Amino acid sequence: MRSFTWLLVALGFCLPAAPATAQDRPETTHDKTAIIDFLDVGQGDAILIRSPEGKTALIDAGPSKEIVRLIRERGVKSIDLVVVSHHHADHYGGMDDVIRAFHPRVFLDNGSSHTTPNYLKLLRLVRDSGMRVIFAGEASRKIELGSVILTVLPQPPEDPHDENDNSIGLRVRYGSFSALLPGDSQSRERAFWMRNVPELVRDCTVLKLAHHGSRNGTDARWLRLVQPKLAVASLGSGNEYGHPHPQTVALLADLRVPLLRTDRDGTITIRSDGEGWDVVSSRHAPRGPPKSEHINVNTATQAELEQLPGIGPALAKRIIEGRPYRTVDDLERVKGIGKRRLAGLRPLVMAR
Amino acid sequence: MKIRLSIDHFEGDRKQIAVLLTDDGEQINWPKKLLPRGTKAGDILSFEIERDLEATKQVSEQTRQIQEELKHRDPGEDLKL
Repeated sequence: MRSFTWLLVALGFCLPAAPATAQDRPETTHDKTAIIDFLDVGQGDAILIRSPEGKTALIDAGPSKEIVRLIRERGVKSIDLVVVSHHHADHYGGMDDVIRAFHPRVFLDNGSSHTTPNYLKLLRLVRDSGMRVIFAGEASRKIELGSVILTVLPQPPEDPHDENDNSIGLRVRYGSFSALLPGDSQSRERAFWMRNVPELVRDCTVLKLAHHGSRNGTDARWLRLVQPKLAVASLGSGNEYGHPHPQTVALLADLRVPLLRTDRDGTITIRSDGEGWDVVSSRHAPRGPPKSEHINVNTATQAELEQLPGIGPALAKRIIEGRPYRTVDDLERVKGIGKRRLAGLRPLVMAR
Repeated sequence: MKIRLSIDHFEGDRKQIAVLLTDDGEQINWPKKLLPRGTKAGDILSFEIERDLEATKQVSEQTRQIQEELKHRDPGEDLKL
């Protein structure tokens, strides 16, 4: 097993009653620790959940074949449950290898009709492997992974046009710790959950951003209901889709939700004893809590403001003279900042 | 539908990705292994694209059949692993 350095990235910021230092821990569960790994699989999702009793679930299998190596590196020898949140290849691309390598006991699928020859091939493998197959349905469903409880959110009626809105949503609960895994769900499906089962999405410790941090995967109402202490985005570096979208990053900054990203932080591991929790990343040297990347127009220096596109020394001076700003939109009252320039600044600045 | 594309250059550590250009300058990354043997930078390619409705229907029907079979076996209850 490859030596793996656990590096603490967020202690003391979002970690009430955080348990002991993560560096001292082995990579497998022991005592009463549950572990969630947001595996760095590039542009896709793969989330490994391990219960204190040694039960294991894999939610999605990324786009690639690297997934088996990533799981084995963590000392995992068997998998109890695998989930394909929806039928897009960046979520099931490595699932055939996972099934051949680990022979999972149960396969959970969204049951949607969206298909491709690749998905059909996976489905045939699932059928022929003889594993138990279950589907997300109209009613919510509980899966006990030892003392970690997975609640499968109810599925809205199938969307024949956008498979993202057929994603399986999962709430992971261990004691007072919880994580929400909403697949690639977009506005329609999230609105369905908020309207019909708000109690299942409310107040989650950790939120995996839907659809890799896309602007259609997160909105203010959703964040205000979920109230995450930490957001995690699973995505590939330099992806062609612009994930995470600046609007999502700005929204999280406005609501003061720290964001960790697999493209920058590598695999993100969260451990909980059922009360406190801590978070470690595989890539970066120890650093402070995740920082907002936005420039605060109320406190930034002249030089910092001049880093913004279209802001020279004169405009930066006028911004400073016009303080304070209650919202970013207040910048429009600064002479020289019209609607167009403000639109360009909005993803990069905040007013606090 | 017929599309004309030119090979601008090859990218990747093994030059395995062909960067194709549409006539209006849009770039498309295309695996070199899916190009005819001997294709080189500067070549003009002609792509003919059509929907294969018969194959689509077939895959869709085969998927539905397996899902029906599997759904039939799922009692839909909570699960203890």
